Amino acid sequence: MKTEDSDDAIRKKIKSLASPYGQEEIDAVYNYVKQQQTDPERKYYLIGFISLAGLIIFGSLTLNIFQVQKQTNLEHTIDTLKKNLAKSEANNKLIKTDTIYVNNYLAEKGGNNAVANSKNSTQSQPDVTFNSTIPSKKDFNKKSTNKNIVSNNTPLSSRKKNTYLASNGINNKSKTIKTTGNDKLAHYQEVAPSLTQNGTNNTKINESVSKYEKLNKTIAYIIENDVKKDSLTVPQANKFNTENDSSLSKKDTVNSIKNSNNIAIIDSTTNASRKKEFSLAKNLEYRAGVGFEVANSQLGYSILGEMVYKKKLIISVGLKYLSTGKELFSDDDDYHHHKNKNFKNSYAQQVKDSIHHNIKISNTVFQIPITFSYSFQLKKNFSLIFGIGTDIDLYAVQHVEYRHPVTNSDFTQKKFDVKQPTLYFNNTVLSTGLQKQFKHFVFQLSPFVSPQLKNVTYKTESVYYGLRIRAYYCF
Amino acid sequence: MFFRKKIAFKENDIESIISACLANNHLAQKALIKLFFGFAKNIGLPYVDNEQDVDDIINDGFLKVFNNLSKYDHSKPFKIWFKAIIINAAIDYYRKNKKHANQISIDYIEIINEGEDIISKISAQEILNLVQKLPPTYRMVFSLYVIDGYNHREIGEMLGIQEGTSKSNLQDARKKLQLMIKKNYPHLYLAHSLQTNKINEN
Repeated sequence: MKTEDSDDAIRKKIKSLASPYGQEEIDAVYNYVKQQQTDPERKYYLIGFISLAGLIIFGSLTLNIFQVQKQTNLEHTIDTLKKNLAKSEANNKLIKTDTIYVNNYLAEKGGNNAVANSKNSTQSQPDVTFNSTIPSKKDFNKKSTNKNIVSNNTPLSSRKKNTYLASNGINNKSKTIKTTGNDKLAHYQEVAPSLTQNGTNNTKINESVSKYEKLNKTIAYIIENDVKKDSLTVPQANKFNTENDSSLSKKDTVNSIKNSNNIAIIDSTTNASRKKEFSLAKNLEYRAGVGFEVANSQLGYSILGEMVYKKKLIISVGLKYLSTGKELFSDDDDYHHHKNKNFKNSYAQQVKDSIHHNIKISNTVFQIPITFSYSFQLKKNFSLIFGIGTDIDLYAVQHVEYRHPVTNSDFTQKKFDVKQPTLYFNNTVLSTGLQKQFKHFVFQLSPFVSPQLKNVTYKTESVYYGLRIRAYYCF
Repeated sequence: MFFRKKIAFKENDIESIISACLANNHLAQKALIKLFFGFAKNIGLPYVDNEQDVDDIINDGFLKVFNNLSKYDHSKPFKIWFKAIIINAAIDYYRKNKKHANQISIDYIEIINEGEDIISKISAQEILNLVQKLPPTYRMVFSLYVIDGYNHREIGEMLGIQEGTSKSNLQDARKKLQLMIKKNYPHLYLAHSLQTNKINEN
């Protein structure tokens, strides 16, 4: 029983105790609660922003998957069409008729007429050279004339007309040349011994054969080059071949072809190296423009430059003028209540009077905004942009205004500016948004969130949410 | 959500303050703190060994109050709900600092029932100081049982100990308290023992 009595006595004593406390203790608890308590509005903003960002990312990924699928389907269709085209081409072979004229002599064994013919021919055509051409359309009429001349001088059986099929492409054409050339050579080899036996114009015929062999080697050389070398060289060689072979002598033709071929090869390699040199510069695009942003009662105006690599990676740098909205405090107590500091002590050098009303504080900051963005192309010149960056603070100044009561009814307005210490790197900016290009102009609209990594006097919020609009001109 | 209307409140009307606090009115929060700060301090003081530590309990307690204000049942007195939260904050504080708690063996102390007489002659502040000097484990059980009126089963659940442990801790706390009174106020014990002897002689 005594224990219970003593317990009651202790309880009564302690309950009756009224511990003294001051306003500072209440303020301390209030500040602690305010600092620790999660602001429901901020929570909603954060949830909204995260949801929006998530939706954009999900949407872009889905769109990307659809586009990839669509592209695969299109590629498949193109492949099918190509195959069909190749098949139809194979079925409908294009028949090109070309004529090769061979001026030569046919020796008939043991026949004087043949020798006589031969003689006659030699007399009528003293310079017997092989004249093989693949006539161009321009030369066709000319060749027709030759044909007539030849037909007068040679028997019908000696004329050999080759008709060949030519498919698309230079190689086939070259093959045809080679085939035709080989036929001619074989024919010459057949004809040569009989001519030698006859003992007439042997030297000239041998010369013709040797010249033809040289030409044949040249053709083989061209064909090799046609196959091996860059396709750029082929048209030049062929062009030369077809245009000049009738006007130049065979030796000159060979040299010219060789030279032209070499030049073509040199030209093609030079172009490739140039392409490599300028590929980086070609992929870069430069933009200059202006920007405007609004976030948590602060406004920013900027001049910007952008460098875009392959229309995907964007580096943006500029100069920004940032103006924070005015903080308003009715009096010293209100200032102390919000800032947990004494107004007079905060601006001891500038504020000498003791009573202050209508305190207004705003800031001006000059910054270098840097953003690294990735652009995801959508349809109709639209693209999604995802960016990360920071604002490097160069200079900050605080503008303070307040009213000081002179008498009960009169007030004096006082103003002063205080330069604030800056931290170059104190925040990070995460943004996601939409970009639209109209010819040379690019417009960007992007919401952003900017958490403060370090505290500075001119930024009061721990996280800034805002919207950014930028317009650029592409050079 | 974005354009919320601020609810007005009266500084002495707890219901209007609570409603305004629920609407995130900072001034109402401040008013509530002002209204219940002394009460919270009185609840917290017996659970700590100095006045500085009680600030942690009060800060944490008020934060819990504001974060859980929506759960408050308006049909019950706010003061009881508030007291429970402050005591919970004190228990949390004790748990956080449990590793620093020193157990002292007090087997050698003889049990003396000093009774109401001696206690009545010691001031409230002196009694509080003595309670605060108890080892943390004993202080917790003693404060919960003697000052705030919880039973051993509740104390066991709150502190995560056995009911028997709570009883023995309370017993040890009493012994320790008696020892301190005897040490700090020997004249009171002398007077008390003389009085007791006289009664016995008669």
